[in-house]
Parts: sequence; C-alpha cells; structure tokens
Amino acid sequence: MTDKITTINDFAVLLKEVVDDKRVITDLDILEGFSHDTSLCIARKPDIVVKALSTQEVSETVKLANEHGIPVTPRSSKVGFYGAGIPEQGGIIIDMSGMKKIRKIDLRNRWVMFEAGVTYGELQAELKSHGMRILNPLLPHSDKSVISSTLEREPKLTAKHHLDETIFTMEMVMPTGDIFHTGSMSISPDAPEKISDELPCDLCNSHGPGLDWFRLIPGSLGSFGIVTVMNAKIDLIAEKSKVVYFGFDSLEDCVEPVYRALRKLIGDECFILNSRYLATALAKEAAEINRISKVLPNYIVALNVTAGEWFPEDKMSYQDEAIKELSRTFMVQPMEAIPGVPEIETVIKKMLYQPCDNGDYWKFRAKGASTEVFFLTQLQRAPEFLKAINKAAAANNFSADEIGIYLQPKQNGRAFQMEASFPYDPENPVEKKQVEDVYMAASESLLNKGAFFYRLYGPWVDMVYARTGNLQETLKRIKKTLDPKNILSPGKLGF
Amino acid sequence: MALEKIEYDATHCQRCSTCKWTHLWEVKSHRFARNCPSLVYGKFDSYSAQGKNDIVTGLLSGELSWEENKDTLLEVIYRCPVCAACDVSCKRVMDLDIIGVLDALREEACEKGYGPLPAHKEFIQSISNYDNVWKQPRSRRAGWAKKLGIKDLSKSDEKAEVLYYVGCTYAYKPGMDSVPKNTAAILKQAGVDFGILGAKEICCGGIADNVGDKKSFEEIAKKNLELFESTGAKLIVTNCPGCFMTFSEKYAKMKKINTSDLPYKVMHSTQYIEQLINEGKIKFSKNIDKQVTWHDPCHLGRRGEPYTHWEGKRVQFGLTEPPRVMNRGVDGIYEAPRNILKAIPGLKLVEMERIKEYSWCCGSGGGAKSAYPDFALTTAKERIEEAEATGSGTIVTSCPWCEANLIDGIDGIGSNMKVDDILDLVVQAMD
Amino acid sequence: MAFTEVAYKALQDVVGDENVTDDPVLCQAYSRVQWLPGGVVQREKCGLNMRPACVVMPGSTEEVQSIIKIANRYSFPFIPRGSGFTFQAFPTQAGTIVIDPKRMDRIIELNEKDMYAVIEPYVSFVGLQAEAMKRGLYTPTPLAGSQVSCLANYSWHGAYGNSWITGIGAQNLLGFELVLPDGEIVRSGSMACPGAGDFWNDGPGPDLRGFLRGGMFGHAGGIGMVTKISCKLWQWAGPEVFPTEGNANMKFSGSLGENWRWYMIKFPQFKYPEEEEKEMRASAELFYEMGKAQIAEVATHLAQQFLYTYSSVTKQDLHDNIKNDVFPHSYCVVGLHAKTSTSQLDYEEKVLKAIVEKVGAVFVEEDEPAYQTWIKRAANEWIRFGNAQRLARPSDNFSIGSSNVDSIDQIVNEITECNKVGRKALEDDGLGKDFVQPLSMNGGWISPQEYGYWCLHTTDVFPEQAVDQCNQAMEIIGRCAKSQFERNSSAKAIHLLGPAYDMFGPMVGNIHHYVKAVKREFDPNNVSNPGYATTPDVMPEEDWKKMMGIL
Repeated sequence: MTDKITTINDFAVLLKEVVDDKRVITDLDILEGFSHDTSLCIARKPDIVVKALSTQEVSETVKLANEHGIPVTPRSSKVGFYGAGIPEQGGIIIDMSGMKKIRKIDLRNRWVMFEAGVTYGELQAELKSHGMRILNPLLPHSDKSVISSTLEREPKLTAKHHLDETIFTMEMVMPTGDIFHTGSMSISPDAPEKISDELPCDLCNSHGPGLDWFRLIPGSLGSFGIVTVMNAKIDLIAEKSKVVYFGFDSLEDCVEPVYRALRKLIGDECFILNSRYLATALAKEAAEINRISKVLPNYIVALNVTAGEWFPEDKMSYQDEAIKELSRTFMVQPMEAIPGVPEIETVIKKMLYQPCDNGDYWKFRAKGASTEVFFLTQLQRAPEFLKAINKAAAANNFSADEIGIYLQPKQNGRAFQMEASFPYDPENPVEKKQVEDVYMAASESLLNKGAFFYRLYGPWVDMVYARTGNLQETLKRIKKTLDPKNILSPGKLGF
Repeated sequence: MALEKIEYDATHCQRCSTCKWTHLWEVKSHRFARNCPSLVYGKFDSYSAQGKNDIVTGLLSGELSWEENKDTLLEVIYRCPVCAACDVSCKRVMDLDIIGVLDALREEACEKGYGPLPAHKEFIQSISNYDNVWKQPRSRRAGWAKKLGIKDLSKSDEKAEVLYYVGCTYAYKPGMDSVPKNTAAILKQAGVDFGILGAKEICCGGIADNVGDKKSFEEIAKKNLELFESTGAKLIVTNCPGCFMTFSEKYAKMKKINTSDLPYKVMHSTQYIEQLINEGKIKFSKNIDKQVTWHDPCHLGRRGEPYTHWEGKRVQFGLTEPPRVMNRGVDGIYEAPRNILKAIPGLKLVEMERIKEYSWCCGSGGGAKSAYPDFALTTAKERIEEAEATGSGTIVTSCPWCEANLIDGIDGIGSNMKVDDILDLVVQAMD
Repeated sequence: MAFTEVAYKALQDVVGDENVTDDPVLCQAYSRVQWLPGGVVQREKCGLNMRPACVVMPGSTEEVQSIIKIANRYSFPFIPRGSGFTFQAFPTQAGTIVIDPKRMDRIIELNEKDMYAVIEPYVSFVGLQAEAMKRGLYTPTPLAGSQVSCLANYSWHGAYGNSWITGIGAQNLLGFELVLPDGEIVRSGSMACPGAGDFWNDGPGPDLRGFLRGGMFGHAGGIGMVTKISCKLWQWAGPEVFPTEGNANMKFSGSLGENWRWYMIKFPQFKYPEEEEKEMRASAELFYEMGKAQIAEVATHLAQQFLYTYSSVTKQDLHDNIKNDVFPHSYCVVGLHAKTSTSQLDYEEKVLKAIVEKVGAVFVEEDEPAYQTWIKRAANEWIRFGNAQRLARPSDNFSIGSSNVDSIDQIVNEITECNKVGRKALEDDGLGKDFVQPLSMNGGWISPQEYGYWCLHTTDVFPEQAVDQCNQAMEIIGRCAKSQFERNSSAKAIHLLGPAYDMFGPMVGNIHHYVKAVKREFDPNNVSNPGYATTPDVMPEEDWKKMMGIL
C-alpha cells in the first residue's frame, strides 16, 4: 500500500499521475450529471469521474482504486437507461465514452474492432463505406455505445441462428487492474489490432481462455471486468431488401404465424410491435402518436426480407413465395406498406439499421421519458405475460392504450425478449410515481408467473436472485476470485 | 489359451460405446435405443462388450485373476445371451471379433475349470445321459410324429432328400409339438420328400459350445455329423435357430471349413417354406385378419450367416493375413420370415423398432435363461413392451427359446399379447 | 482421509447396494482409454491407479449431491462422466471413484415449438435426434459419434458435421444444473427461475456457461457434475425416419428426400499433396463466398482420413480404397437443406454453382469413384451417427495431431504449418514412418462455423496401439504444439487443460491464476477430477513438466 489517502482529493491527485488532470473530475456539478440516468434508480453521486481515453488509463485507474479500496463503476455510453452506470457505493466512475477509435475493420473475416465509446451511428457510418454493417438493436439511442449495448445484451434485430451472438474477442481490464485479452486475443498482450496485423491470429475465436469471458462479462454490469476494446461480427449490407408487415388484432394471433415464419427462416430481421409502440417510433413528435396508432393494426409483425450479391431477384422471389404460403396458411395479408401510415416507408430503413437521431430518443417521444420492463419468454407464453402487464397497469390506473409492447425474436424464435414500455412526464412527480408503481407491480407479477428476467438492473437484482437458489451466491464466489477487494461495480448485482 | 486367440480384438477396443447402442442410423426413439440386454440389466459398463474387452485385457495382464475374482467374472461372462448385438454394432465401425471375445471368455472359464455354470452343466450332462437337454427318455423324442407316417431316416432302408431335424425343445417341451406337426404337414402338402431321425435324433450340442464347453460340443457334433452322413440327406431343415446356427456355423468352425463346404446344406424352416412358396408348392387361400409383429431370433438373424473359416494372423494396422471375412450380420435370415408373413392374405405386419441385425434379444440365449432367469425375464419384458408399442396383438417368431421366454415376458408384465410360431399362421392360411 | 469402507457404506446408503460397486471386475471397465496414444501411454504409466476404487450410479441430482458431499467429507476424488469416451473420464490416482450417470437417462422435455430439449447425462445424441426428427427438428451430429452423451459433449467439447449452422457444443447449451465440487447445486439460465421453463441461457445476470466451460473445452469434470441441461434443437426438413437400405456395415443411407442435396467439390488444378496448401486456400475462398451468401447447412473440407474412414465398410476395404486412390486428395462437401422451401434449395444450388465456378472449383461427377463412395455411402453420416470411432479404423488407434480455432485463413495456415512439422519429423527422425499414410499429417479437416465467421480444424495421426508408436505420435503432437507457440499462433489460446495451464498460462494472460483461483474457491478439497482439471495451486515447473511427460 502506498501513502494513505484520507480525502477524495488525495486520491484525485494520485489519479492525475496516470490520467491527464483535465480528465480527472471532481467538480460537483459535473458529478451531479453522472449521478443519475433516465431510469427510476435513485441518484447517487460518484466522488470522481475519470474520462479515460485508453485501456492503459483504465488499467492504471483500476490499479490505483484496487490499492486504495475505492469502488469503480465503468461506463461507456453518454446515456444510461437502467441505472447500470450509477455507482452504488460512490467512488470513481470511469467514463470511456471518449474512447472513440474504430481500430480495424476485417472485411474478409467480417468483423470490426472498436473502442468502448463508439456508438452505433459512428460504427454504421464507417462500415457503410465498406458495404458492411454491424448487427444492431431496434433504434438504439444515438449516444449508446455499442460495447455497452452488447454487454447489456440488448437484443439484436436479427433472428437468424446465433448470428446475434456478435462478440469475438475483448480487451478488458480486470478488477486488479491487469489488462486481459479474451479468446484468441489472449495470445499476446500487444494492442489488439497489432495482434491481428502482425501475428498469425485473426481474433476469430471467442472462447476462453480458461473461462468463457464472452459469456461471463455480459450482464455483469462491469462487476467482473471492464471491456475497453472488442471485435464483433459484421454483415454485408443487403443489395435488395424490403420489409413485409403483417397486422394482427391481438398478440395471440401473432403467435403461430411468427413461429412458422422464423422456423422457415423467412427474412433476416424481425420484430413485433404493438400499434402504440410502432406509432411512437414512426412519429416525429408526440402529437402524431395517437393518430398513427389509431390507423395501425393492434400488432404489427415486420419481416425484413433481404438478398445479397448472388441472384438477388431469385432470393427475393423464393422468400415472396414463402410469405405467400404463410399468408395462405394463416389467412393474413402481407403488406409492403401500411395503409394510412406513409411514415413507415421513410422510417423503416432507419429503424432496422440506424440509431435514433441525436437528441431524439424514440422511447421518450410520447412524454419525455419512459421506463421499461423487459424479460425473455417463449412466444407462446407472451399473451399470458401481456395480461399480467395490463393487470398491473390497470391496478395503478395506467392506461393500457399507452403501453408500448415490443417482442424481439432471438435465434430462430427460440426465445423472445418482451418489453413493455410505460411513458411518463419526468417533470410530473405523480406520473413518475405511477410508473414506478406499475414497474414494480408488473415486475413482481411477471416474475411470479415465470417471466425470465435475464438482464438485471436495480430492484430486479434482489427480486430475481431471491428466486434462483444458489445462483447469486455462486456468482459472488466467482466475483471473489476475480475481484477479492470488490472494487468493480460493487452492489450492482447484490454483491 | 482361449484368450490369446482374441487378445488383439479385446485390447484394441476403442471404448467408444457403439456396442451399447442399436445401429445409430436405425434408432427410432430414445426408449428403444439400447441394444445390449446384459448392460441394460447389469448397468455397469463391465456387462457390455466394451467391459468384457477390458476384462480380457485385465485377465491377460494379471490385473484380474480367476482365483480372486471368479464369482464376478462368471456372472459378467454368463449373464449374457451372446446375442451378438454388440458385435454387429461394433463391426459397423471397427473390425474386432467381439463375438469371438465373448466365446473365448466362456471357453477360458471352462478351460480353467470355473465354467460352465451348474445350470449349464445340467444340460450338458442331460445330453450325455439322454441325448437331449431336457432329461427326457430318448424313446419319446419322436412322440409328436406318432401315426404321421413320416420316414425314419435312422433306418438304413429309409432315404429322403431332406432331413427334417426337430431339435430337443420342439420334440419334448409340452405345447411345442405343434411346430414339428405343422412342419410335417406343410412339407407333406408341398410334396417334399423328407424324413426325420426319430428317436435316434440327438441334441445338436449347440448349448455346450455356447457356454464354452468345447470338448463336450465336439463329441456331440461328431456324432451328429456321422448321423447326417448315414441318412444321405443333402439338405437339413430345422425349425430351431439354435440348431440351425449350430449346424451351419459351429460345425463348420469346428471342422475348420466354410459352411459352404459342409457335406450338407442346412436351412431354417422359414427359408425352406419361402422357397416352397416361390415354387408354388405352398399356396395361401385363407385370410388371417390380424396385425402382428415379427421377432427376429438372434441365431436366425444376425447370427444366421454362413461361416467363412479363417486361420491367419493380424499384421500391420490390424489387417489380417490372409484377409478375413467376418460375419457382421449382413446376410442373416431376415427376409424369409417376413416374406412369408407378407404373403399371407389379410395379415398385417408392423415392425418393431429394433429388428433384423439390430433386433433386441429375447434374453434366453447363451445359457442365460437357465442360469439367470430374472435377467432373461427382464429382457423379455423389454421386448414385449416394444411389441406392444407397435399396436399389434401378436408377436410372431420361429424359435422355441424365444417363444418360451417371450411368453414368460408377457406373463411378467401382464400383457394381453400372444406369441405365435410362424408355422401356426402358415398352416392356418394354407389351402 | 481417503476412500474407505466407511465411505463406501455411505455411498451404498445413498444409491442402494445394487447401484454401487467396488468389485475390481466391475471397476475394470472404467480403467482404460485405448484409442488415444496419450491414453495408451497414460495407462502404461498409471497402471491400476486408473482403475477406480468404486463406480457409483446416482439416479437423481440429489443423489449426485450426496455423493459429492461424501467425497468432500472423506476427501477422495471423484470423476463425473458421460459415456466415458474421452481420457478425462478415467482416474489417474488410486482411491478415485467414478460417477456413472446411466440411471439418469431421461429426456425430460422436448419442446417442438421453442426448439429445445431438456435432458439428463446419459441421453445420447442418437436417442435425442430420433425423437427430434419425428418433430421436424434435429441436433448437431458429433464427430465423436451419436452414441456419446449429449450433455457431456456439450459440457466438455464437441465438433459437429453441421456446425456451419450450429456452431460448437458450447453454443448449443442453454440452461444447466450443476452440482458444484463442494456439493452445492446451482442452476443457470431460465432453468434457475421457477416457472420460467428451461428454454434459454444468458443469465440471470452473468451467464454461468462462461464458468462451466472455458476455451474450447470444459473443465473436464473439475468443476463438479452437470446433472441436467437444456439444449438447442434445429430445424429439420428431412424425413422423420432416417432412410436406410441394407444391413449392418453394408447398410447405406440413400436420399434424405427432396429437401436435401449433397455436393462434392474439388480443385483438380492442384497437384496433391505438393499443392495441398493451394487447394486449402482455394477451399477457403469457397467457404468465404458461401458464408457471405449465407447458404447451405453443411460446408466442410474433408481430408482423406475422413473420406476413407467414414466410407469404408471394413478395415480391408479402407486400405484397398487407399491403394486404389479412391480419394486422391481432399474434397469439400456441401449439404443444402430446404428449411424454407424447395425454391430456396434451388436458389442455393444456383448460388453454389456460381460460387464454385468463381473460385475455380468443379463438382465431382456422380460416376466418379469418390462420389459413388462418399455420397452414396457416407455423406448422411454427417447428419446422423457421426464418425464414432471409425477414425480409428485404419490402425485401431488415432489421435488429433493438431487443432486450432480462428478464421478460415488462419486455419489453413495452421494446417499447412503443422503438416510441415509432421513431415519434417518423419523425414528427419522417422517419426510416424509406420503410421498409416497418406492419412497422417496430410491434409486437414477444415470445419467452418456459423457461416464461416470462424473455423476449427484438426489434422490427425494414425499410429498403431504399440507404445513406441504412441510415443512417436505424442512427440509429433508435441512438436506441432511447439511450432504453434514458436509462431505465436492463435492456437496458443486453446491448449489449456490440466497441467497445461501451468505450462501455457503465463503465455496466455496468466490465465492459470484465475482458473486456479476459481478451482480453489469451488473445490477447496480438490476432489473434483483432480487428474485433469487444473490443480488449485500453481505447480512448480518441475512438477508440471513431469506430468506432461517432458522430463
């Protein structure tokens, strides 16, 4: 142990030896800005924010924190939705949102290497010039970091096979401050792009070493390690594509057709939105949401049918044929446009491949803020969970008409992330309290019915782990081996 | 030493566990995927072919010894119907003589004086005393044939083209004499020139060989070969697959010749009757409105292939010099009984999942039923459950041991299934 | 303490007398692995230490838990296993017990709609696939053979015929239930959440699959015993019942129906084996193009050893086929599967033809011996059955000579370099001169995964079982591994198992410290397969060298 520190400023002084002093922040106003995000989580201020620009800086910071027992909460996005970047026990926030380098694009092996702060917009723009794209979730926030989104397991729009598992290798900082490489990157401590440039290694093995880090780190909210660089799968931009929509009166009606479509591998991207949520995505402003919502079918299934370089017409043609058969079997009409909703034609491509425009996050469009409850389910159980959501809303006088419902299929329809969004006016304390109550009531009810909350934030941590036997204890034991001083994101997962 | 003959085969087991499963292409359900009755009953791997290979390796290396381990050794070796399901599965991927390993273990047990088991010794002693396994008087052997006017080929003035060999169980077991009676009726109707050995018929001796008592087997076999020669018959037809396999494979092996070089041809009754049907000598005119399933007796099916004699050695890479033709279950008698059943008007044949060369054994072969009746019963019950799963009310077979054990299996689980010998159906359907 | 009569009695009380044995005859069947040169050598070294002190058969997770708690109480090692195919399933020290899961053989659930199954440890691929195929689904087909335990294969390591779509075993694992080495039970994925069903992995929170497995392998039973898993099933548009004709080893499988087509592809312009590298590079182009186009269900490059061993009906047949040069070189094999429609199949065929032309390949004609032998006899093995032990058919022993996981290009590099090492070893030191040729250290199995986003390979050696040949094989394998380290190849990241952690850990981010810390935490008494999983403490160099047979 080096010199004893007694104040935060003492520690800040130490930090300034490893990070440019302008990027070691103790200004209270700025710290205030880092104390909360758009979630309902209680605001908690960090003591220091370090704006790191390199893995080395992150490493040095964590080493110092380890030495002096100071908690560290990592962040790589400028924006947060679920409280993941809010410190539970004070200490340092390492803000990597300034780590903006796209380090390498390997077109042949279809991956891109990028730093923690790179957003979807930045990545897609760069990749587009090479005819490629990264597999993305539905309309991510413009400031959402790709690494953050990936590690938080935001579901991708692609429903095919396991193409949504995009992580290849990672450079990360362990809780001890050591720099660690995962997968085939582990063969050298050099900079990742240097490894693939100079060594016989293309960074295409995600597994290991020792443990499968690409499984352990996602969902850990930074408590097992801090990822600073990643290489992840990319795909070609389709030569031809069109979105086909199916409208349904109820969620129940969607179930069989969607199972069949995904089983038959029709389309690449797929999502299900209720009219409210799709209207929210399409509208330019809040006032339009109601109008659009009234015109849309209650539930819309969108299938993005694409074709690449080889005989695109033929590919589109057999997919059309399959869609027709789907339509005949389930007596539902496919649409390439939705009557009364011209907006869809301009917005849909953006929805599939792009983030939101700057400053305009679609989920907040209705009232300025929203909170979401999301979990995984089998599609056939989704209607049951929808009932629970509506019941919880009704019990708290929240109008069902305002709830946005989104189902994102994963991996040929084996699982679906189901999301219920509750918009509210953040300036209205009554509404805020109302959605808090709905959130908790819905969460409790859904858990009791067996909804699988796989991404844990805030109150879900205790609610879920209370039901899962030894799981939390086992994770705690793993945490103990990696982070004996419990420096990284302490308390985030209840340990 | 018996084990030295198969040392290569046992020590080169790959421990892949293919021997424990039905042919991996033919598995149609998880329920009926297993093929080894010994393993299913005994559970520990030692009861499987792989386990027995390890046991041979252990005995040869001194890690196991007869003196110290005889009780378990005997149980592992003899609580096995030697059905060759393991052999067939293994030979799909390797070229090891697994059935040779099983035989060698029994031969070794007998050479060392530990085998065969008391129940087997009773059979062998009975053959010695009575020329049959059932301790029955010789004079009653042809009791079923009384007043049927069948030629007695044991008499020097009687000759025939075909020797119908009945076998101990069909001759003596109560309730089973319908089989020889049916056979005689069929052959007569077909105009076949046949005869029997009457009271002079003796046990084929197969049981002695099955349990490893090669000495007793050879004595019996030699007597039979002389008898057959004395009849002048060129074709032996028998109903019992055990006898069929003994005459076809074991006698040839004992004489170190190919089956095709034996002084006689041997056919199972189903083969012969199929031939008679094809020649138009048997016709079916009566309907049998029934759904049945066929159980392949092991000694007729996968063990019913003709034997090709080999004397040689393993050379580099485990190749054999000269090249060895191993029986692998390819040419067992699978189609003849099926063709007969399909030819019977109105009869519907629905197959079980494990059939032909990958059939599930009834559990009674290899001396298993006499020494380990509970094992044999459990194995039969498994087969009855499989038969029930076809929706058929009747399981048809052509083997006295299978028939008896399957009946026990039916009683054991309280099933409503019936067991028919195939000839019952033939006779019913005939003109 | 150690395994004693008292401990044995305690096990009897848990499972019943009939489900546990310490009889040497019964235990003998769990005492040797023969097919790997390493296994042969190990058996020579370890002798009867490889025979377990007892074999116990639990019938439930609770019984497994009790057994493991007893092992901790009396401090004796235990080894959990599946079908017991791989050498990690065998003891190396006296007083070890083996847990044989034969009584745990249920398919607990097969969910057709959500395409997953929940199974116990003794469910084989073949049984699961039979049930799945009735429902328009199927499983990956392991090269180890469909007779192996699906749960064990996914927990440990598996490579598959259709991994162009399915990826490796680890990717097919959903939730699991694990009895930890200290006897605690933990469940992962939705299996951990009451009422959620067993349909998914990923959490809650961090995904414990990352703890269960690491790198290309699991922990070889060193982190306890998996007692239940849920696993993915995949769309199957082929027949419900697998088509066969003929009997026994002369059984062949014909058409998989109108929804399946097989192709063999070759590059006749390259001389083989002199231009082996060029042929593989050209094959890589084929796979890269196919991957971008996202067509096919099976896409793989088969070296001669795969072609001969899968397709031969007997050992003699195999060697005759080698003499007759039925497969004069490697071939690419592609399978198209109409999961959408026959039009999709037609489309993919059109694309495949165009790609084949683009990369300078040609289709093997139906009347060529290679086609007749492979497509007619063996192609369908890639869907059902797998290889089982036929890779051992040439000489009744074989080993993987080298392997790696990375991009297709790097895999081609790796095969090229490792084959050079193998050939040099032969030329300079006569290593492998008695092995089966041309199967040893020639060509390579290239197995692109997930539309070619990544890839794995093996090269193989075919010694006889004699100890001196096995030692030669081990030497060749060692030299290949050495070359991988000298070249700083991505293969460095995969050689991690048991004592190899101590040897290679310092070169791979000091991973051995992390894994050993995990081992210490969860297996404080070091009872969970101590022979193969890494040791809890960092071994002195002298000790691991001895264990690795280097001294």
